[in-house]
Amino acid sequence: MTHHIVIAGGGASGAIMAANLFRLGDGALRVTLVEASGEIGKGLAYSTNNPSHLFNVRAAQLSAFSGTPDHFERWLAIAYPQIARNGPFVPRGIYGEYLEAALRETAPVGKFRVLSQACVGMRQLENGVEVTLADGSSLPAHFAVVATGFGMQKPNEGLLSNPWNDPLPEDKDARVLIVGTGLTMVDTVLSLLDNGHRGKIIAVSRRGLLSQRHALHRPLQLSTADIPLGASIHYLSRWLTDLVRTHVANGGDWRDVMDGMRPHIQAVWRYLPTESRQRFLRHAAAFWDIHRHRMPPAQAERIDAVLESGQLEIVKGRFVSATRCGTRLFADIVRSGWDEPQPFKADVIYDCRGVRRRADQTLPGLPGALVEAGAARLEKLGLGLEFDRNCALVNREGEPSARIFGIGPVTLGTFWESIAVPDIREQARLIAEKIASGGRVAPRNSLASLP
Amino acid sequence: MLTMKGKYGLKALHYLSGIPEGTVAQSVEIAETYGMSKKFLDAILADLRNGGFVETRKGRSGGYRLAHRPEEIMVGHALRVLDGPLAPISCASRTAYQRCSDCADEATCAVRLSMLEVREAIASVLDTKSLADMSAMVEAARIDAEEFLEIS
Repeated sequence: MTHHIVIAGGGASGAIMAANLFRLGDGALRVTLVEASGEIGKGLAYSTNNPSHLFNVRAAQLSAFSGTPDHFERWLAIAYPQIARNGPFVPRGIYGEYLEAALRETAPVGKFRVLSQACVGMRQLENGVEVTLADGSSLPAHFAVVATGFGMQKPNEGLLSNPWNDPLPEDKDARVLIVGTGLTMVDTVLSLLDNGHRGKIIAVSRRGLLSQRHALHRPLQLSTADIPLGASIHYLSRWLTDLVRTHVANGGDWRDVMDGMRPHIQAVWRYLPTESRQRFLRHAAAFWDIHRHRMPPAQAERIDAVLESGQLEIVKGRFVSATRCGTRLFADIVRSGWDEPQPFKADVIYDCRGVRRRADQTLPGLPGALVEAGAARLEKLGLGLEFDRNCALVNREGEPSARIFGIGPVTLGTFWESIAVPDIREQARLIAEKIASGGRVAPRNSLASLP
Repeated sequence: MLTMKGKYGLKALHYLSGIPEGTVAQSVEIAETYGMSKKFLDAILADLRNGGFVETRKGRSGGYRLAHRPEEIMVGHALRVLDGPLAPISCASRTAYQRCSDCADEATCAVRLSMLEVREAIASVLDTKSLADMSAMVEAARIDAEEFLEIS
């Protein structure tokens, strides 16, 4: 029997999902990728054309298949030999092309199609899933996968520019304010510099922390048996600091510990008590992020140079709001140690506050519709949709679905670490195997009996 | 290795998982139940509190209770706070690593390589066994014992 699987979202997560379904399935399946832009593998992260926008993960970790770790590198060596020679951190813009190639390689002719549409709903039926599209039509499927990404809110306050889509300022001397000091800020500064920007750039965040840089290292081989799962964040962070201190005292690098923790982060998060998760978000997430998500050395050197020259300045403060006054924008920023907000003058303000959902934001798109319909619910802290350990969507009553799954950044709230390729391909493997084993469904439960 | 501390700590957690919700137990009653030294038990409970597994209430009616529901506390998780990393031998742990004094080459040591596997097996058992599961095991064993008495 041929299974039909619908994937909502054609970014990297959706494309990796499709490729893994074909590779791990028994060949008797059809996949429909529903992606409004019609482009494969080019979601938020990989739609950039700027060669300065690099992966912050090494090329050796970018294979779409966990069973074939060198799949990406082999493709890169043939498609872009000059980039392959250039070192381990490659431009993100080529990843969509790689994923298309991976799909061409795995998908049998006539079994894969892309629909240039938006997916607006999913309803689980007894024998399958009814997927609704923006034009009102619906697709019957045996299984569905939500791969809608971070679900960023579209236009924000109106005065803040979007770093991913909005054009760079034409005036090269414009005064630019960037809200946020994470890796999106780094990308935005590099885009401005590549564009010949001469004006002052100010980046503001509450702690004013800048990402650390990558360096050669040897990840510590940790086992889950070593890590204090289930303990409070207080205990866990002291354990981690002690481990780093001992490791550094023995001549190691702190990055060895961070990267040794990497495979276990989902387990740590799963067992972290709710109060501890809240504490972590409030007090430690910013520190964690700058150590976990690091800048490739080539980027770090350019950022260091503009910090040195004074063109880029990092300010510690809390962004409150922005107002327009004539052609000028003013941002209200409460600097640390001050009670009252101070106005910051700027010609352009970029919103680089990152991709993590704040609990007070509305949930746009398909995830929002799924919550509305009761097919999904938010996890306890409101970071995103709730899934079970096997990536099955959890409904309003708390029951995991047997037919609807989630992959990639949309599952961030549940797994914390599900936004980088090594984690996404692992989720894809899990879901593909689950769907393959669901192939035991009796013929009478076939799609023909769908209403 | 299960130390005395680990053993007493798990017994204390088992005791706390059996008290009615909303109440606390004093360390003296736990110590008496299992015949342990109160001083040692207090030190153990302090570690469990530090790890976030038990909470204390201060004052005259004070005492200890679990910080989470018994279904949510895994035996293996509490044991790591009591005894450190789960490892049957100290060279089988990365974080509390100690080389055996008589070891010539640990990379190819037959005992160590076997014990690394044992470590994973220990984790897979203890990390899926909650305090609630532990109580259920005790209950099942008790019923078995009673049936045995009736027959004999």
